[in-house]
Amino acid sequence: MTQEEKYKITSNEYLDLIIKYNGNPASLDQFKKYSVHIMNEFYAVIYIPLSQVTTHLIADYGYAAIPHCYSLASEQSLDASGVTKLRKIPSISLRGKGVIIGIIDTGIDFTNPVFFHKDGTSKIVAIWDQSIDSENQYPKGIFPTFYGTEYTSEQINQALKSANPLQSVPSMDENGHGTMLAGIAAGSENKENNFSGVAADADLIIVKLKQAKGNLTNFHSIPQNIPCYQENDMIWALQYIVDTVRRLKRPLAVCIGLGTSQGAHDNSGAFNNVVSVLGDFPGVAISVAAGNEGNLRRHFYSVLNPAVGSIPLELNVGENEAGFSVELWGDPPMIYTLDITSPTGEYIPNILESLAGRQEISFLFEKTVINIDYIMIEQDTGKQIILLRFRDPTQGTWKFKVYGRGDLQGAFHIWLPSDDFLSKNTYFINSDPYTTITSPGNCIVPITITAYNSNVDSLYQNSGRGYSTSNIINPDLAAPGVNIQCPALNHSFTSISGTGAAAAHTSGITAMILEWCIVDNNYPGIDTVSIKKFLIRGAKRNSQNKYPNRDWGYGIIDVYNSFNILRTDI
Amino acid sequence: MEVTGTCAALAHTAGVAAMLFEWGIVNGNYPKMSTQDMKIFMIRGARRNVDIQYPNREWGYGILDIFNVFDSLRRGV
Repeated sequence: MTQEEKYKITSNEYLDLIIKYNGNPASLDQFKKYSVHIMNEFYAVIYIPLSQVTTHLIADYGYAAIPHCYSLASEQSLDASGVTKLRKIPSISLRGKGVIIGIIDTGIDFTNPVFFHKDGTSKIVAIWDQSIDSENQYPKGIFPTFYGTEYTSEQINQALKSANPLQSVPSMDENGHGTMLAGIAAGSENKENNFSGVAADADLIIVKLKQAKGNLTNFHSIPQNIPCYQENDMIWALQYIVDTVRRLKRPLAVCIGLGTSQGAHDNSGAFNNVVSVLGDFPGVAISVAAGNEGNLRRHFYSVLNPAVGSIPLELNVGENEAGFSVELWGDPPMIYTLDITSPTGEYIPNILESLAGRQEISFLFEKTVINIDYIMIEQDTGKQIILLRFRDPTQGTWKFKVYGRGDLQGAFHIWLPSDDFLSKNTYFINSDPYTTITSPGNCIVPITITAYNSNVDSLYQNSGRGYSTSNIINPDLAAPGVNIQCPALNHSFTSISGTGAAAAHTSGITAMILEWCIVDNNYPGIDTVSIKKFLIRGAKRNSQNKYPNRDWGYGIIDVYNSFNILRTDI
Repeated sequence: MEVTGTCAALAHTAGVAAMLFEWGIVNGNYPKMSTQDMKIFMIRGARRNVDIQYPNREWGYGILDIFNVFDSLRRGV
């Protein structure tokens, strides 16, 4: 990647592919004709001109090369009643002092006073806005990003002194989601509105993600104008935060309030790997939203018995659905295939078994087009994947029959995309609420957080349910995530619900723990995994339930109890 | 001399892996073959006793059967 080529990073004329080169740069030589952008020791991005993208993309580069698409994991509450005010925790004097909370999201309204210290200076140590192009103000770590603009705390404080701060620092959260999460995690106290963030003395580092490229959202038929972020931007964002905080020699609590339903719902995939590696460093704690897919009926699961041979299932497609992608993941060694019957009764026989193949299906009496990619052994997981991309699907009930060949029984999952990537009227008739956690919530290392209503101690109805397909216990814990009061755009206050809000709450709590352990030097080597264990041991559990379970994980985070354990253990 | 142990079984498997690489990479039938892929080819072609449930903790997915592995590959997997 050079200065001359960097326009390709943001240009919609180029498709991004994530290539796993595993520290062997020679293996990237075959892509010399494209621009190669090395992200870290394991992954690089190549930028392919759209004119050279063929229909055999997945067969040529593998499923994992296409960046996954991430959606936001909380939304403004419509019901204003029963707003949960974050309470100050009086008996613990920890407020995240000396700790930096990293937010990867839609940006921040840095002019909002909840992000000021008591002396009026900004709590934000840096903002990297991926969406603002610059000649050379992009982050230049060991692996330069070559895009976006970085704003330092000096620039932000200078801007705040001027009449129009956005003139010199034009980075603004247009969505509000990032501002809300940053406020929940680290907002300063606002007595007027009876508001305080969880770790009110913590500092912030912000990445504003750029919207996913149109050619990628189009590939998956994700509607335009829906917030959608792509995997390589997520990887850069987390690396930037960790690199910057490491230079400042401060502990770091990260909040990832986004997720994707794409992938095998296990530990595999590029961003999942990066989260696992970076979360394991001393002084880093990563909290991740479990996603809000549990009640949307977008997951189907079944076990195929070779004696039976096939399983029927039905997918209801809503009105005016522009398109969506469906992923079937089958456990080896069974070999899977499927047939399709459209709502008008047109029958598409079994798609062909092959090591890697593709097929485009169009219908006689319907304008629907289905692109099917078929990979017998997906490189990262070893599982079989059948990716079906629907365009202009006819409204009504689509019938599928999944066939399995082999002498051993095999389990398979089918997932629809997350959040607003499709309408709520498209769902499986016999859906399964479990295994609906979005990634990176399916990883082993990060703390995966589900949301509950702390007023009535009930689970947030849309929470993603566990476990992950590699049988890791996820979610780990529950945190408040229903009608949480938080700052909104235009310096107002609002309330939000979702596992994203719960993850932000948890990142505030981990900031308190990092302050006690690292800033106060009681346990200098603590990392995500050990913080998670302390939170699990101190969690509040209902004697009627069995733990761990797929709804609550190991129970509700209880910060007092966890601190008691920390203090007596060390 | 004769050897007994999982070491000997391992050496046998490494030889089979070399044969699979020859078919996949040297002969260009499956250029991206990795440990992961190979394992699944071996599992698919493994010999299993009908009286035993697989996978199990003694045998895993069964006995490595190189003929059957190639046979299933030839049949278009």
